[in-house]
Amino acid sequence: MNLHLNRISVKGVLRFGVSILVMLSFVNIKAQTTGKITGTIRSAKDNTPLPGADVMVENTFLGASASRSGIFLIEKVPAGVYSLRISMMGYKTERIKSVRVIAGKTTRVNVLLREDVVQMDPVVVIASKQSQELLKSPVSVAVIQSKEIVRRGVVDVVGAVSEIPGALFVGNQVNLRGSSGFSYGAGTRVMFLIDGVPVHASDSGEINWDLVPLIDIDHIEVIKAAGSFLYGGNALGGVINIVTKKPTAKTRVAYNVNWGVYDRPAYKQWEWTTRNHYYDERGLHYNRQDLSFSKQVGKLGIRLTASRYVSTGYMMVGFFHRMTFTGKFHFAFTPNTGLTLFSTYMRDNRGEPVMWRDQAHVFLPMDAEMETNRIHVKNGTMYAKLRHVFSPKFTGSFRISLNDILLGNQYSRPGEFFPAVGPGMEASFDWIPAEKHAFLFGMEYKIDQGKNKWIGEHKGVNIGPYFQYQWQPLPLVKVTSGLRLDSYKLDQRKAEVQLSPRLAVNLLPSANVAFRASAGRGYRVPTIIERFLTLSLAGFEVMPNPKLKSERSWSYEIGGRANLTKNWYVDLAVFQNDFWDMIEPTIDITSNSIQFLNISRPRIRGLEFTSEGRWWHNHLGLDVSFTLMDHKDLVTGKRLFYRPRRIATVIPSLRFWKSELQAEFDYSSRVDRVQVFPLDERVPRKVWNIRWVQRIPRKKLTFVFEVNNLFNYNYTMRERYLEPIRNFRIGMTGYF
Amino acid sequence: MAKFSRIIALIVVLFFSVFVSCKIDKGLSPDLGVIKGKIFFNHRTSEILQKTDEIRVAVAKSFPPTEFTELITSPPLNKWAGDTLAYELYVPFGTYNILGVVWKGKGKPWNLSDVMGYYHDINSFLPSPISVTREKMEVDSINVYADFDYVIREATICGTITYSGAWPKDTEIMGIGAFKIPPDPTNVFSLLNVSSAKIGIPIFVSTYHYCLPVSAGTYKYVGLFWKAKGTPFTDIRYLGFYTDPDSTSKPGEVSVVKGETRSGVDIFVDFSTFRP
Repeated sequence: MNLHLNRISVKGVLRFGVSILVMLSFVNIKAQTTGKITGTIRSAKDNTPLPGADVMVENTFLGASASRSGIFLIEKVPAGVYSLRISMMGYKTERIKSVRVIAGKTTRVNVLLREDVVQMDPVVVIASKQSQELLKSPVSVAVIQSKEIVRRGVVDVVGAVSEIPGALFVGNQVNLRGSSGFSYGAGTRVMFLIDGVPVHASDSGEINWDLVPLIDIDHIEVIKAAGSFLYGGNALGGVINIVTKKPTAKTRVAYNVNWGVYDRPAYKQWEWTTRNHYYDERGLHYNRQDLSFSKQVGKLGIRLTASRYVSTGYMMVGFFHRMTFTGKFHFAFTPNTGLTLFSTYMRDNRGEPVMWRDQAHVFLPMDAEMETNRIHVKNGTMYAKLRHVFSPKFTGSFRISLNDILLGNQYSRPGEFFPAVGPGMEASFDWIPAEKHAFLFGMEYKIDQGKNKWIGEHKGVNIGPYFQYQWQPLPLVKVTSGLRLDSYKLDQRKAEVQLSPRLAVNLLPSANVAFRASAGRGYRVPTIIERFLTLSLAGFEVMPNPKLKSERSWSYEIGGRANLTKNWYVDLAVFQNDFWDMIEPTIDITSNSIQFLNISRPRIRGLEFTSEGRWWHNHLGLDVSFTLMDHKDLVTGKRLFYRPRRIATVIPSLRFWKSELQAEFDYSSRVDRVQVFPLDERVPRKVWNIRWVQRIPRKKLTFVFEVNNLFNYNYTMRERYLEPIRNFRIGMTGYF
Repeated sequence: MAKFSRIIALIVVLFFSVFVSCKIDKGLSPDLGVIKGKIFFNHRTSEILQKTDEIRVAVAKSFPPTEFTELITSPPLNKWAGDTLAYELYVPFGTYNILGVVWKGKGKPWNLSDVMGYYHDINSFLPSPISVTREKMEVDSINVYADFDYVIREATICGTITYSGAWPKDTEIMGIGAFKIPPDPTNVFSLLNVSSAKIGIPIFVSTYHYCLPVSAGTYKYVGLFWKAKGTPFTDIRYLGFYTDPDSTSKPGEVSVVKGETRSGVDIFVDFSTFRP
């Protein structure tokens, strides 16, 4: 792995980090007298113990897991009054307030957890960088939990994010409510975080979706509106945060194995290899294996994972071979101070089919030269987070991070490719002076660097202090206001300053109904690639545009969420996103050139509805989501590129005993406009998947049998690139 | 339990019955239509061929096309049989409102106005639409008469267009053209006599500097035309023209010789007096 920190930045980062550590080490944790909290955690359904359930003392690092008999014990709890959070996968998270701990005594708390077939109100941190129930989130937030990832038969992170209502992938780029469009690997309007740490490629801004194996994911949180007021640039069109699993209290080995084969093309004319016969042992296939190990050694929690994902692809040069290794370590120095280290390293060797040859040869690349296209990626990311609870009302955290990505091809001549290095750090503080007031303030520092023969050598430095205040003047009303001031300096240019405010109001008329309204500004600084890339790609000359301006947006939303029964919720949102100087790759086919330009004044507005419910003793289920979007450039009146106007997913399911049958229908209307070949035939996406999920709790196993694209429907989301054809998959997930 | 099993079985049967009874849509297919024909050229000389980089046949669904991306083009045509080229153009099913022969000069970018000829009925100068359907996948004998004189341009007319007043909100296309025979403002079809044109010039701007490649000669009308959103080709309107310096109500005449760039051919547009 090539990790190349800039010397000056390393010095700066280390100096700041060491000073924080020194400061924390001198914090006089007063000799306090302590007590214990103990109790049992059982299922409300049949009163059986729930081993492995987590109990956390809020605003501390104190916590424990329930034993085989459901008993937990938390020692050395400073005297005081606390809130406990009790959670376990498959059960509704419970919060118990006003637990009083008296010095030298043991406080007893017994908890009954209710089975949670539908994750009604999970706790999220993404919306305000503070833990809160989803129902009280000031903006539209979607969550997909690890159990749902298993249940939906997902194989990779792209598949998991695709399950989010309103999310749509065009190529490798995610669109949240139509935010990103498609720019072939340069610039995304969605910020990607791992445990709250930004991990974009520092030169292209692109997201590497394979940095985290699925087996490491605890849940995925998504903000579907501008998030720049807390997260800075790149969060113009939303934020995706992957929260990784913590090391478990007990030693655990978990695994996930998948094997799939592609069917023959829908038309005989399209067959392009003898390997189209899936029953042939050399048929086109994919397979994935993940293995993780988790253990607690004293105060140190360890989690190690290895993952291998290999595919022949379903088209010529569509193959890939990916390996990912992750390690997560958590060390609790004291009940109030904890350090988390996380690192991941991923390498990917893949072919790169850009466009098909013609509609009679959709599985062959555009020209023979592309048959040798290869891309090699080495991507390493690490962060260290130190968190200290100064008091139940005041918490501070500090992190340093580094993302390093090296692209190459089969030639990789000397002097062509260099790693894109993005070190960063952040300090933030939570202060809750009174029950109705909560403050968050902090500062983020980030460096983007890029160097290769196609872009030259560039360095951007971003500093962004931020502030948020949450106020609950009445039990029914919560107001969230926030502001972030970013200063971005690229090379020797004058620093660019961006101010990103947000104001949100929640109305909470009952415990099961919440309304929200918000307005927030977003911005995105053009990436180094968008500004400086000079390259020949698929017969086009990519022209640099150093004068490219930052794009800005305002997001407005009104929405509401209601838990209609204990297993049925609905969520409705109306949104409008206005953009200024939106950056799009603009193609001039007369001169075969592409240049990133600020286009005038786009607007995307729409409506989004989500419902998830289980009825008839949970035997019948129906998950529905649809997004209606009206998108256009207000000046030219034309539709925006690579965006549909309607997206919908319907998943009826039938559950009996430990089995579940699901049929999933994914629909998006025909993409309104594409850039290069607008006269090519385009069709809506109408894909059916069916799956059978079989749980064997006694063996801690789950099997998934799945047919993806049941009717072998052929469609494209961008020009001349056929989306996956019918394939069959068997998956097995388990632990011991 | 038996009742429960029966209900489950019924639901599963119903579910699969719906699947089976539905017509299965396969989406995209490998089937394409083909348009075939011959192109008969006028004024083909070896000197002209040396200046020629590519000749292609192109179709567009909308007329006039405003961007090159609105065209489906054939591969470059170069198998000459005397003054004739045969072509085959594979297209998705649909109706194409114009089929034309487009030309690219050596060392020059594609230019939408470099059209050497287009397919039309013998009794009309209007482009004839061509329909390619699954039932009629091959459309033959779409022959075109093309002329090199329309595209060999060795002079340039340049000027600034200045707009005043508010742009009509429904503006869709603006174009500028140079005519050797002045067009009849009451007859939109006279636009087809344009010698050189640039379609899709920027809209909602206050000024625009243009340069129009033309062949040497005298142009009696250099003017702008305008089209509103959602209107047919026949609703194209004349917007303004280069005026005679001695009489601002008359079109000005512009003469250029080979290799010359004639600048200062400025046009003023006052939207407050324009009634779409």
